Amino acid sequence: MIPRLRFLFTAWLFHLRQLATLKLYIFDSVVLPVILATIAVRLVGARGDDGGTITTVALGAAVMGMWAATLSGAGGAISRMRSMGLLEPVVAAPTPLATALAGNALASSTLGVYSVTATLLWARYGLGLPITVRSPLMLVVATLATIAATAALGLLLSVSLVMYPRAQSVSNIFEYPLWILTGALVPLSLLPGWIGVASWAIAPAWGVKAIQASVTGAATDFGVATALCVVITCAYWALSTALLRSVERLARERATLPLS
Amino acid sequence: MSDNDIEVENLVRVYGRGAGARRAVDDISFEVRHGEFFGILGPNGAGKTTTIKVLLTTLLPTAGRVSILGHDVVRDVQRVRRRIGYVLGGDKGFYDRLTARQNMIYFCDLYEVPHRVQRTRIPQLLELTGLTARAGDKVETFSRGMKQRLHIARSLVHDPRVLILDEPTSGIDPIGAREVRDLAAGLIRLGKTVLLTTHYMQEADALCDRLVVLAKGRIVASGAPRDVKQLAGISRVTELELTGVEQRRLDALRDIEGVTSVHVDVSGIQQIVRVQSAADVDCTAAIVRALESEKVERIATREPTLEDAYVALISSQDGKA
Repeated sequence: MIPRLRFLFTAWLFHLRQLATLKLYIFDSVVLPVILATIAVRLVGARGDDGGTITTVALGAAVMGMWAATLSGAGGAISRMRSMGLLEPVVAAPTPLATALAGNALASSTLGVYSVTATLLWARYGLGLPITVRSPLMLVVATLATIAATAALGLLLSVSLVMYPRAQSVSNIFEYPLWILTGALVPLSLLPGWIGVASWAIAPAWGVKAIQASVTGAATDFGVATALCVVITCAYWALSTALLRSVERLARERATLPLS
Repeated sequence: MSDNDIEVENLVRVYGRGAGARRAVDDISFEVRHGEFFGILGPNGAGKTTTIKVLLTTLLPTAGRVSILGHDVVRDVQRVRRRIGYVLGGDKGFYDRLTARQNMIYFCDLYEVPHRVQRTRIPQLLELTGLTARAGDKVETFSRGMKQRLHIARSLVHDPRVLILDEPTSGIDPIGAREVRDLAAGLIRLGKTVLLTTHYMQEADALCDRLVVLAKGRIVASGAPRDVKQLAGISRVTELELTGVEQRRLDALRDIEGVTSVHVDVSGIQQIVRVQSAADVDCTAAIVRALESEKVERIATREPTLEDAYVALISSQDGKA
């Protein structure tokens, strides 16, 4: 167990370093959240909403950036590993492929910490808007849970990429639906009821709810949302690991591991 | 327990299904003994890489049995992976924007090498491969030869007993290739068993204790390099350098008694002709007579090389197509 965790950390650290040199990824994780936050808080600010609403909207934009970065980082990680000739060596090693991919997915989502921080600082000092967070500790916990949730969802999507190298283009279409399903773009209360129901199965949606609760300081809402976020995230990890095991075997049968 | 580190029995690998199915490897068997340097030779598409991928456990066989150190590559995947190292040809396979040392750490952790072991092994392997001075440099700044040496260092992080080298000198300049060859030869002294695939016959001749030649997925020859030369049925090679000789006159060389094959390499206006013949026939005089009035710049007779044998074997297989 400990060697696996150590490799998870190494994979996370080195993938993060590698990602930090990629311009498109930097745009997704560094520039995009600030742009989204600017648009969102300007729209809300123009309506004269209070600091809490503005903060909630700004953080929603941060989660949108986090998910965009996860999709291009975790989803793209398989394509990059394939094009770098790393996928086969990693598969041929004794450590499960899921551990390596989990490290990559976590690295992608980790820059979500930046998304949240940059978005709040930009809204507060760049745009001069009132930013209020009732419980900074809750915000930290909720952000970490959301990072794990987006990474897990990214890992789940990346399973298809081991099997189907061209699925990267398909995975990109998941960017906008998740923005809606999490309530990061538009509050779920304004959308048809079935979207709200569908969002229950989406771990980052509970992460967004936990972030929103940290802004208002609603401890019960925060606790429920965080717990559900963690439980569903664990389910994603377990499902991804099981799927990756069978997908890896299928890939060995069909010879889809190398660059193709 | 068997003396064989690698055993391949009746291996078959088919790609695709139905009418479009292709047999990349067609019922091959061989074994590699402990401490042996074993080669797999063959042209592109012969089934070398498919065989290697089955050994690496990244490809499942369609039929047959393959085991490494007694562990089945289908059933005992994790045990096999812990005991083999491999070097795939080409300059990929690293986080190229990270340093050589960081990549070594990544692969050490991937193979669950304890940190206290890493602290001594990584410098040792970088020293062994002559990369100590560049350990802190990004891999993307490395030449192809250096990347290949790093691949060898990387393949040894978990101290495997069996090493698989898939065209390790492919695309490397002659000096870099020699360094990689020297390194590969040294692996045997470290107690490793090495399986090598290569296009370079001189390399195979110099390094391999035994080898198999694959063509169209089947073994067409096997044994020590000298055995393979004998199997090809050539005992003498007459090499000529000519300029501007018509093809029909070169074709006429095939009609000389005792000649088994004629191969022509053209470089600009220069033609290099290799005439292979049986040992008991001296064709030199007949060849000179056949090329009378043509400009022969050089003529020499020599013992056949592994390359001559390889060309003869593969050509005979092509003739059967």
